Amino acid sequence: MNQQQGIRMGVWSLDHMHSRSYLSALRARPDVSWLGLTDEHSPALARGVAANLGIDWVEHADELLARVDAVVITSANVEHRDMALAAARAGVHVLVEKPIATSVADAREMVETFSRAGLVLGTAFPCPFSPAFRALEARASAGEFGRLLAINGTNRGSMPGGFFIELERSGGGAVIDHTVHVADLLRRLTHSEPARVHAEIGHGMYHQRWDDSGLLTIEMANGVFATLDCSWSRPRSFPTWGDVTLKVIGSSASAEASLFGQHVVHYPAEATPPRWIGWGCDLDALMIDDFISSVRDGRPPVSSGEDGLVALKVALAAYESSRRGGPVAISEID
Amino acid sequence: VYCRAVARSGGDAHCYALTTLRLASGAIAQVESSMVRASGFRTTGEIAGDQGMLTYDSDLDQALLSDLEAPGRAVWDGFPTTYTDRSPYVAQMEHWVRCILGREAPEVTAKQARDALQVALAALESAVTGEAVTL
Repeated sequence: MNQQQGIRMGVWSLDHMHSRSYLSALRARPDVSWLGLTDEHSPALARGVAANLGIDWVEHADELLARVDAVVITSANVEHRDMALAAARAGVHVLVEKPIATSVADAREMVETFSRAGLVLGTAFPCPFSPAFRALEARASAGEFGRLLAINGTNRGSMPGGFFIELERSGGGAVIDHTVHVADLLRRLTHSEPARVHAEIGHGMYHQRWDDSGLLTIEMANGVFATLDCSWSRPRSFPTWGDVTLKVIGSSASAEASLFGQHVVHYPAEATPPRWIGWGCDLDALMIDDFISSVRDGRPPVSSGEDGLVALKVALAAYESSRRGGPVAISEID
Repeated sequence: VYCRAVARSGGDAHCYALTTLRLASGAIAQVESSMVRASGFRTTGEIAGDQGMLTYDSDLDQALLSDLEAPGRAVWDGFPTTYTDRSPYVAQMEHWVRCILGREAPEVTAKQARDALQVALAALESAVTGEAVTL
């Protein structure tokens, strides 16, 4: 990438709704000299989205890869591996939507391929950029809570539909979708690695083959334990999409963080439910900024492919625990 | 029943526990048991089902808040506060008296208390062994 010319960026696939947020964050950056979009499954949709944003649409992924320095992959989970490896072959850096992949083998192949090629592989975890989380982490590291003992976490949301509920394309339901964010935050908060996972996984809200709810217990190597509610439990009437919360219990004090807790409430004149309008900062934009800086400066991104791989192992361990009916060691997940 | 529990400092009395449950119906549940809060009782609950969700948080459900702390006075007097026409403690006692007089059957039976205790003891067993306990 040429410092003067800026960076040429692509977004590959509109399957994941976060693609819209990444597109608008990328479009707002003066250092992005070219921004293109492709979606080979839905070319007409991609063409329309690109036209609305005033960016370029390209029909084929090969053409996109030939024109960019880096690409954001926002396809269905099972497609991440093939797309990322194609990008690596084209010498293109990748920020991949979470979960990084649907199997440890795929994720590991991605991490190793990018490492060998000297290319940046980032995982799209925006939560570490939350100022509330950063403050929580700083206080924990400064010893304000004493020794960390336990964490009660949530990443509850509404059922997203789309590829998320097509198991062949998603690799799982709520558990694979919503475990990875908090699993990643636990590592950053405890400075330790997940060692054991127990999970109760449910299908009681939508009564489908895909899991719609999960309650995980995650035990870190340093003895801190955490639970995580990763359920798609927010009904259509809920005033926002969901949450990421962490209640931290230390030996001398406790703290609660709600990463998306800052909001004003909008009560419409119509008889429709009120909405929470979040304020604060755009975590996706901060994450994109870090990724572009890492490409520019040749350093690892805050959320790397390795981070994505460890978080994925926690989600896969949860499914294995549910099958077995007991806790599963992370070392067993391969 | 799967439970992890911890003592805050020294001793072996747990002060914080996180328990997950799978019920016979297939429903899943999580229970947080905490004795580490400095500012008194807090009760929260959430029930999510296929027809909607109920949530409750006693911290967000205050009928009267005062900010008149006198120096040296404890922030918390040891009891949860509710503003109802009759204290739930009084209602409980009146109900118990009527039960003794043979006019009513207990709302909470000994069997229910035994069942709840069984779950709590299973959680304790899980906390000690690190394994899930099936009832």
